[in-house]
Amino acid sequence: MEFRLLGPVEAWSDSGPVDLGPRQQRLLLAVLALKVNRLVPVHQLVDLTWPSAPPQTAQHAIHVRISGLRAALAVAGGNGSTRSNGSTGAAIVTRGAAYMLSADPMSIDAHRFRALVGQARSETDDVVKVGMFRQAIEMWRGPALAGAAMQAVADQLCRGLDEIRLMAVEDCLDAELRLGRHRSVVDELTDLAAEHPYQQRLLGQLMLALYRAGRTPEALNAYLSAQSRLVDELGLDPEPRLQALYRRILRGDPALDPGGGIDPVPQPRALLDAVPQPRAVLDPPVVEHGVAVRVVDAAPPAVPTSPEVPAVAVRAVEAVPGQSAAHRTRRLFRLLGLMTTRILAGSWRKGVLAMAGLTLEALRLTKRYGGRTAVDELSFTAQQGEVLGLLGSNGAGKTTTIRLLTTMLRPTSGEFSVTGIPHTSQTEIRRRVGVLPESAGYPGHQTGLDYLAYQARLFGMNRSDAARAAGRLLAEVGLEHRATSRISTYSRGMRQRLGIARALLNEPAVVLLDEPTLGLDPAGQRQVISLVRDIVGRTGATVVLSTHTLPEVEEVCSRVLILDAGRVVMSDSVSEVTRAVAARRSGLLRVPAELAGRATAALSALPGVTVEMVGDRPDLLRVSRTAPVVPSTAGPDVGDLVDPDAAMNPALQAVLNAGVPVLSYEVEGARLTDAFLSMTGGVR
Amino acid sequence: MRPMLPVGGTLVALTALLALAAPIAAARAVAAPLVDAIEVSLDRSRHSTAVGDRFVLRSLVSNPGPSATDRLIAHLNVASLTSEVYVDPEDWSAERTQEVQALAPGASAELDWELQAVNAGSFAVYVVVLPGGAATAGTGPLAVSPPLHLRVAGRRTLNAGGALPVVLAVPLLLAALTVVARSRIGRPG
Amino acid sequence: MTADVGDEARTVHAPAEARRGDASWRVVAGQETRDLWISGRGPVLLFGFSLLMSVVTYLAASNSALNFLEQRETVNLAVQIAVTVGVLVTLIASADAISGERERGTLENLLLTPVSRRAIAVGKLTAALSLWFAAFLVSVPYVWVLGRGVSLVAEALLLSLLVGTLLAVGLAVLGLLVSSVSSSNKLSLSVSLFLLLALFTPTQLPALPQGWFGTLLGRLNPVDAGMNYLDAVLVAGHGWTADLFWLVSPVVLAVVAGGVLIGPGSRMVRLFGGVRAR
Repeated sequence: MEFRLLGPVEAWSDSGPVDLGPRQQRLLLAVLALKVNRLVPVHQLVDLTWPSAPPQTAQHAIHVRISGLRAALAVAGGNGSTRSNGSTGAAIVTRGAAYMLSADPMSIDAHRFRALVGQARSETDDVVKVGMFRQAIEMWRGPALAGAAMQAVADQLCRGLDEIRLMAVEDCLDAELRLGRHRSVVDELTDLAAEHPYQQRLLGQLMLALYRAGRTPEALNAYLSAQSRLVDELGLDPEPRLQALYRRILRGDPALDPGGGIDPVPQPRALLDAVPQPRAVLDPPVVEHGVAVRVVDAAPPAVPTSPEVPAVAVRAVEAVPGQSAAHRTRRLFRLLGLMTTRILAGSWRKGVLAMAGLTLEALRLTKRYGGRTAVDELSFTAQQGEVLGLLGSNGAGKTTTIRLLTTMLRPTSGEFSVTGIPHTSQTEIRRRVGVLPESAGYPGHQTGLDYLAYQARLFGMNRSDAARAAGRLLAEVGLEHRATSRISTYSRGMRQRLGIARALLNEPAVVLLDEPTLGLDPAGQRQVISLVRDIVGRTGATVVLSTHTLPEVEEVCSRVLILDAGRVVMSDSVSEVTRAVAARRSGLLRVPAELAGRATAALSALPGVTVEMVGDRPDLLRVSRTAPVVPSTAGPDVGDLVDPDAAMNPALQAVLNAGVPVLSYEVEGARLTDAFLSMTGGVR
Repeated sequence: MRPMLPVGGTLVALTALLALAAPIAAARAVAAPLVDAIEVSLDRSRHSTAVGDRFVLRSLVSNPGPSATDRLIAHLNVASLTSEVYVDPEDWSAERTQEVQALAPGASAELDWELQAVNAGSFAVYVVVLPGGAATAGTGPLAVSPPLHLRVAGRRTLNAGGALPVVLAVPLLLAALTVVARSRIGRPG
Repeated sequence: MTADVGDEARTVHAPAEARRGDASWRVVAGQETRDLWISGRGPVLLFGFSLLMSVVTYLAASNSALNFLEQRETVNLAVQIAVTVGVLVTLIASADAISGERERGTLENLLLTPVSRRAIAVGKLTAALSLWFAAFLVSVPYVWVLGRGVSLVAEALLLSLLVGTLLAVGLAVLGLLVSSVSSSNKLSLSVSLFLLLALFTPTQLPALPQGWFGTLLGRLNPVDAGMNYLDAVLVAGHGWTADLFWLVSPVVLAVVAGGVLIGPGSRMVRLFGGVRAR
């Protein structure tokens, strides 16, 4: 028995196509097939079949449809019946209030597609790789679950498959370009770029294919059109990689030629990774104060004032089109002043990076111990004033990363810089970073004041300055009343605060905190997090916070970097990370136990809402519903999702209207924990 | 008969004279240099000192003979005149052997010997000179200086009573410092 | 971004530009010395040493049979005890210097400062050597009591200072290097003490007739050579320059070890033990 979901939902047996019955029956089979060999609760099947207003007899209808499917499969010789060759076909199994399709996953084209794409990715021979990708892509006969599911439901069920398909297409095209088949893929790329106007990788591939085909003006036009579309519609500039490709095409970089060894979309790189050229000093444009500025000409003076402080004459500045003229002009002058100040205050790189607000950047940072890779090609940047959360399971490479950035360990390859200081200048780096190591110890016989004063002297202060700085910092972290007590009498929380004070001694540009709340009680954790917020607010330092405690990342971090086995699996704002995996279909609601009944009644009265108790906790309810549907002109069976973020608001309102206080509410699947677990594979 | 007494007396006197002179003659004969003989003398015959004191003994090696001597070796010895005191000459002087170059007729050489009196008692110190040339090494005769009679007074320089203050005070002082240091750490903050 | 230009210019971070303090190695040395003497084992070790010296001195002083030569030997004994024990406690301090901090978790914070590894090594070495100089000072009254009757005090003290300092510097540096590469403090202390024992044992063997190899070993072993030099001058009464060849190996040890520590050896002062950089 073979099941096909990548297109119209079909089933095929040895004797030909199987009649799967009406649309809803086909949908049920598709859902079970997508989750082959896994139990799917009946209520989930109800939600998918009737996204809004399921009938009272919905569950009964599901049972009837399942019976129908079983009959269809049995006729085709698949429902558990043993065939003449002794093999058993697919079967729909009942377990309590759930159903499962028991079948060989490779009999379902969606799973075969995934497996084939995975094999193609790991294939090193481009010719074979292309063949495998093409084979996988050709499995698609149309949109997934076509004719069986409403668009919204199909999107929900098959979003992952669509993404994989798109990535497979992109990877395939990459391989085709490496094989020099640029002419043959131009048309395909043109169509794809039109179909996916915001996919910058496709755009990059199209640009490269056009360039290699000798159609440079069209390549450049493609970029400029996409750029103006992105700016106008989304207010975004193209990615740095795309901009770099554009510049390379402009220069006619020979590395772009076939066999030049360059990937169609170059790896991420730092804003400036070379000595600035006499022309195009600050290119790509830097977005600052809402203005994108590109310095196109800057001439070093004939006699520099000093090696570290080159004077710069900025001759021309071009603002990227797309901004209002007046707005542009006003901001431009302020920006010029800022640029000059920065560039004159330090080296080229420092000045430009500082102007771009970058205080920390890492580029393909790698650390290997023999055969084991602890950190693998880690690349990221951090802005001034940003709090970057560094997440990962035990052994993911967080502490190794922090130790690399603080020069405690030497990278095997790659580079990083702090405020423009390259990692090879270890002493200078240490002057600019403040660190709270994970397993920091403190000399018990010294007082907090003596210890900090000593550390301050190691940073170059004289005795009196050191003593003053120590006293001031102890007061800032709330330890002034214990300054003259021995550290051996400090609690764990006090030691962590002492460690934070020590990390701030040298007024660092970047503060790295490795598990600052480890071993602390909730009050202590809150104190430390509050301190971190103060640090950022007061000093504007960049903070890199390595932690296991996901709620504190959600609370204080602006961006999060998730590591798994030494690699970055996600780097984005916290909200984007959670949005990527959020299902937003259910939430956990806590109400007073004695009013749980009233809350349940209020929720059950809402259409499309199911309520169930969680475990044996009378005060905790799991509330599930789909987003509200508005009628569409396309027909009663088609609906549009409206604002999934606000999907649960009517439910909460209903509870409040019933006079039941909401003690706590948490959206399931929208927590950073869920995102983290899904990206790192959970417990090791 | 009377004329026999004066002759006998004269003979006796002569014999006595000869007997007395003989040792002198003999001594002179012994002391008198042979063809290659030399003379050794010390700058003093008596010296008194205390245990531990150092002093310098000067000796003179001279060649009164008509011909030049070969190369010579001078050696210092210390002998105990008290039976129960053991002397190890090495402890008294580090340099107990000195070379003397060949002496021309009538020439002489001065040798200085540094000694430290390491034992208490009565000692004889003397210098022996031997032929030391390539051809004459190991042959005689030896020339010896008259002995220096050395008296060394004993001195009790170390006694328990003298050491007690240091033996007690130093550890006590350090113990007190240790206690003070520890109490500084233990002071509540 | 809504920050003002002025705000942006202000927040260009620069290191704390306070008035410059002392040289880093002096700061490290000062703190380490304070740790050793005020809250550490320094006073206790010194007290134990003084007890040993008191016992030896009292026994010698109460022995009426001691003659002049034996008094010189007693002074020599006191000097050798001072040098040996002084070097031992210095070695213990240096063997704990890096590996001990590593185990106590305080090394990482030290390495995170802009102080160079060399300055850290020199500072810790200075602190360890303070134990030797303190032991020498404690030995002064004892040597005076024992040596005043035989006019040997000044000579004995100067010799003790010379030989002891050479050995203390050389062995303290070795201890520091062992501490840098040891994976645990226990290992560091064991290896260092074994090293000292291996160097010291030949000095206690009876003076057997030796061929050229035995003599060469004796001269190569800095501890053996140093003790032989003390014997030659204090007991045998030789001049200072007569037996200078005995001082060759202690001097070479001090110079080479110091050079290694200040040069490539200082790079071994790092977060993890082991010989290779991580």
